[in-house]
Amino acid sequence: MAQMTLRQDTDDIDEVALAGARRGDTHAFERLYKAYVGRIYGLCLRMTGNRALAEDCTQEAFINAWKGLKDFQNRSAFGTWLHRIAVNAVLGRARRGELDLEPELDDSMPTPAGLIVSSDELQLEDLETMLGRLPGGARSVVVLYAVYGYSHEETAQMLGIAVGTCKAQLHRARHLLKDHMQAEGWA
Amino acid sequence: MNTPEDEDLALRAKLQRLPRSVEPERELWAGIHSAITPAATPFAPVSQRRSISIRWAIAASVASLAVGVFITRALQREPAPPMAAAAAQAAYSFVPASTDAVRIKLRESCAVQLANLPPAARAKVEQDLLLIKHAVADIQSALARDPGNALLQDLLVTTYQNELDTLANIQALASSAHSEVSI
Repeated sequence: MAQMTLRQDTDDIDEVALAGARRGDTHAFERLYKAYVGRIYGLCLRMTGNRALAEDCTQEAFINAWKGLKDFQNRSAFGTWLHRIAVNAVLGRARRGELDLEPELDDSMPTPAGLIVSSDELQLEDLETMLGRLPGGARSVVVLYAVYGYSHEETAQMLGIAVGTCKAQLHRARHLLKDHMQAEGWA
Repeated sequence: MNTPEDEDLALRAKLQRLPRSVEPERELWAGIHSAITPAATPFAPVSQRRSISIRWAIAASVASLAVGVFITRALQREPAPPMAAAAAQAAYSFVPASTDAVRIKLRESCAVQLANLPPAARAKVEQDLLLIKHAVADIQSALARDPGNALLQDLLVTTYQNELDTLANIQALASSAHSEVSI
């Protein structure tokens, strides 16, 4: 099935590797790294829009995951836990001024009438391009909510924002995506 | 007209076509691995290097003691002139003069690591070192009265050996405790 959720993705976690890594086995941790690096890098790349920053955040996320493995209590899926760490790594860069994720929200922005993504012919590459054009805050919400399948509540919690802000950012993103599509002649 | 929730879900349906996994172009594991593992070869960690140097010091010290005992016994086979009391006091100087300095230095170098050991292990080591200290004092006192006593000389060498082994054991315990904390 093409539209798997994140939770379904993480069902096949290598429990043996996880147990080994929690005992301090770096080879076991490397197996987890290989299983998750693509998803973590993909998340970081889409949130930062910058390859070098995404690589740094990915490394930072795995290093922090290693340090925090003994505190991982299986209360959430390992992939979700790892995503939270990666999001924190990106937010940390933003706090240090290496990345702008918090542009001002324009409250006067009109509600878009109808869904923007109406073209079934839209290619993945085009979707990715449009996503990359979104401002940081809206992009982070779209990436977590729409690409990785988190709920508004989960997305808001990961980003440390209110649920209302999360919905407003998504609303804004839809509007901007519509503008982009119209500008490109896709909608 | 679609509600905002419908639009959110429709947007999600479209964007979930994007692959979640994107492989980085650069190899990232090496940097992660070097960050999560202790300093590796070619140079041993400082704590390990200190442990090695102490082992060499212990070996050298024990070897000096053994040579001292051998020489003293060889000399004692020769007819010896009567010794004055002061000379008798120094007779057990088969122990090289540097030995006490080495022992003090080793104790000092181990003091920090001893303080960082888990309480139970530290208490045990401190008790052992105290017993050894008393034993050395007793043997030296006995040797002052009977400098030619080969049994006492052997006993002193063995006690020094035990002391040095105990000090070396602190290094091993400290390394072990450090590894557990790191994990």
